[in-house]
Amino acid sequence: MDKYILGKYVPYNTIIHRLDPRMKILGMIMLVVSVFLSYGSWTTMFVLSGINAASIFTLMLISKVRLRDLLYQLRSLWILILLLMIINIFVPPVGSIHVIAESGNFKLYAESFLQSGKIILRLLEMFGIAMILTASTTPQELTYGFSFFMRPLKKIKFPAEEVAMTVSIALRFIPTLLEETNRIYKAQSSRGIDFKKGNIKEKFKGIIALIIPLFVSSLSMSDDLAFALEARGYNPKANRTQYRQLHWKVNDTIAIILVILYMSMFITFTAMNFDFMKQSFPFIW
Amino acid sequence: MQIKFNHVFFTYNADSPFKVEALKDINLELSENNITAIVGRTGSGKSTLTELINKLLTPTSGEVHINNLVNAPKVKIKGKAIKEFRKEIGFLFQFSENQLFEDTVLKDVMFGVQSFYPKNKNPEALAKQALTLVGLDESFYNRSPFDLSGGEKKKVAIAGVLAYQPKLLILDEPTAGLDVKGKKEIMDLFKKIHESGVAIILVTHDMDVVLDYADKMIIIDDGQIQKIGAPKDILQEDVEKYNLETPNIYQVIHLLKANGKNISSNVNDIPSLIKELKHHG
Repeated sequence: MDKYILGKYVPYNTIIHRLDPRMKILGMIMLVVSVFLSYGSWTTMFVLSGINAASIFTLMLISKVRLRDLLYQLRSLWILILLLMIINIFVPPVGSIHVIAESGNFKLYAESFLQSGKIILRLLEMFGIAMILTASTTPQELTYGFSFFMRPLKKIKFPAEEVAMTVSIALRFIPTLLEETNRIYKAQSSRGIDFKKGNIKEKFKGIIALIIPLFVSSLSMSDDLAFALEARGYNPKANRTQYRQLHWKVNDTIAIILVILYMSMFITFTAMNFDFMKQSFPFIW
Repeated sequence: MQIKFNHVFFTYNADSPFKVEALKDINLELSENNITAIVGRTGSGKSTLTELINKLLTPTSGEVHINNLVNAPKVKIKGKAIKEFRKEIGFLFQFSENQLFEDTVLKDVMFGVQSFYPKNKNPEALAKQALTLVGLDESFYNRSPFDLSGGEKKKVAIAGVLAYQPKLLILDEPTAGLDVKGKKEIMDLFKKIHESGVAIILVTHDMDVVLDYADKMIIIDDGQIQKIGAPKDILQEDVEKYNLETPNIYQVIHLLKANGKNISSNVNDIPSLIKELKHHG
């Protein structure tokens, strides 16, 4: 596998990599909230979204997530973008007033394009945030982080530990299954399947030749894993301790305060229905 | 088949923290019609080397010439041409028992023939012939490949490769996971196939197999070719520095020599060793 896949951990040692996963999960949720807030006018919206984009891009630079990889992940979204355009053109957003062109009953509004642009920008920002989180945090850490937040749910008999175990096994097996896919892919290509070119019938056959062996071997893998767990006396109901303890450090506190401030700023803008065009600094910083 | 490696480099995940240099400046010619063993420790680059021959991978730099085809970066080859030469090569992967997918053994063996020779009127005959060759009789034809034992699955996979009658066989660890009898059976089968005019490239960890079956061996370590030559010459020297095991027969001979016996260097198997020992009394 030559390319990065979305959600793959990239082992650098940056400040962001060293943060506590709990901080990162909380922080990322707050950043997503800031991205999805709505504001007074289009200009404000784009200026603030621009600020968001710049902040996220800075975080990407710090955690060494490459923009190229992000765009590569989203390369297949052009269909969605096209669809968005079409829908927004025929069903203009509520309150559209700026007509660009007119033909009979049909009016083409500028807002249609602005709306599409807004959604695409938000999508990009959200994917960027998710990528920073997964690229800088190992799946193990992520699971520990999530299970920490799920702990209070145990009070209402929610199987937090089991869910954490299941998730961490699932995450652990993604690379193994990819490797297996790659191996079967190579084996079937050398038996004469052309996965890339070839006609539809051939491609269909190819997919079957890929999926069935993959299914069979993942079933046998999970069988083996279940035996291995039982052989070591795994009891899902037991209260377990963790080999790797999470430690909340000063850096985490600083980071979370910064993110809270950042989000508060955007929430304030929204709450005030702030508009760059109408107001001139009516508040004190 | 004419296979020539010309300053071939191969790097996995270039330009990322997962970067691994698997092959460094490989120059190699594999054109003789013989059994060539490629050996080396895990991760030494053996599998990468074989996958370059079948154009499953493209070199990072350098060229691999396969017959008239050039496998090199920036050289585009049409899908049809790739298929055209892939049908000359039978590639048996490690864990080949995992590649079966059809609902009957016969159909699975026919699969390669059908995809390489769609115009062939009688793929069944070729499939049956291949199954007979690996020693699976009619009772297996309509069984599901998933109900078979590991060894039988492997035989089905081998038959699936043999059925389209390739001119070169690339075998990646064909004996892994087989018992002593199964190993000998399969290697004897490959020898028989080789005698009918098929060249074989064998990737293995088993030096006994190399000594008994290969005409030529190549030791790869750290992505580079360390040694090329006849197995009986190379294996008598110290190969343990490459993490390879000295074949049993040479271990015995080394012990006998250490105990004062004088044994000639032409002894490569048990019968000749017995003869030599009788000769010395």
